[in-house]
Amino acid sequence: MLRRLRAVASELLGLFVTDWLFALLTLAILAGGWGLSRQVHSAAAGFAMAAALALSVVGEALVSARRLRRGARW
Amino acid sequence: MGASWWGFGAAFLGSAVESVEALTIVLAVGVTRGWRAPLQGAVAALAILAALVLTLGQLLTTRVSEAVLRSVIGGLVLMFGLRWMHKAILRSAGLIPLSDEGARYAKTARGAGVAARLAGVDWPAFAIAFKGVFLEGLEVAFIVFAVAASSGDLRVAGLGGVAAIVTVAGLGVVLRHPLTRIPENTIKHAVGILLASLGTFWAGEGFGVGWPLDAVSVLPLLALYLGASRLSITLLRTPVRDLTASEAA
Repeated sequence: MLRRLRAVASELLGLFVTDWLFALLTLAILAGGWGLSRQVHSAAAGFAMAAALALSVVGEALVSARRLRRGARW
Repeated sequence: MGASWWGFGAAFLGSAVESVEALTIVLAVGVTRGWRAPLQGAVAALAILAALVLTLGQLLTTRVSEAVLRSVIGGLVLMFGLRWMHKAILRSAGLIPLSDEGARYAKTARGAGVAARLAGVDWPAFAIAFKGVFLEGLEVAFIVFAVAASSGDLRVAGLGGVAAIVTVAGLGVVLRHPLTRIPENTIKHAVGILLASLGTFWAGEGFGVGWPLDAVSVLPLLALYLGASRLSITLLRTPVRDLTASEAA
């Protein structure tokens, strides 16, 4: 029973997380965006958050590619 | 109104991709072992998923404040979209293999072919179809539920999800073959970008960001994530080309 629950939980988590480091980075950027929007109250806060997220997409792709080329399994 | 149609598009495309994967599993089991048990398994899984979406959707949209809901669901939609984008980028760059519905079909059919019938009921066929439809359907349910919770319109998101399932199932009935010609990676890439943009937009709304022109702000977000994707693919392909050139020399 516990094994099945764990499998379901891991399946659910897998819907959102590929790499924990980048999941935490995404959450940190969202938290930063929330903090900034409390201060600024304008669309600039939203677009700054989106730009940081887009940069993190490029960073995650480069890091994953390096790992895969070194023989890490997907 | 604009947000509703973005929601319909996201729900339809996302659900269609996942429905193709579920259809492959049901077709493989049905062709190998007969249609009754896998269809029962698929219907049981769909019924449970529909109940989950309706119950959770109603509960969350009526009990949780709109700002909290948009922040949390927007964040989850964003993470879900980024995950699809990431996979699609690595596939487009040739670093991980493309999803192969033909291979999935053959593997499922092999597994279903050797499983034994128990007490006259084809439980293995039921279980394989149920598990496949339930797991792929969880992603459909999440997309529909998230879009509904964020846009506040369960009808439009649900309609998008149901339209996708009906379209893909209809194609499956007509073709009786896995939909191997659908460019799954391209669709997943596009849906990933769309979900990441919508997730950012909704999370921003939840945080109190005043987006200019409301849902039209999704367009620059789409352009931003599309640009990041293209840049990633270009950067990932460059070293491979250099390596090939040096090997050829």
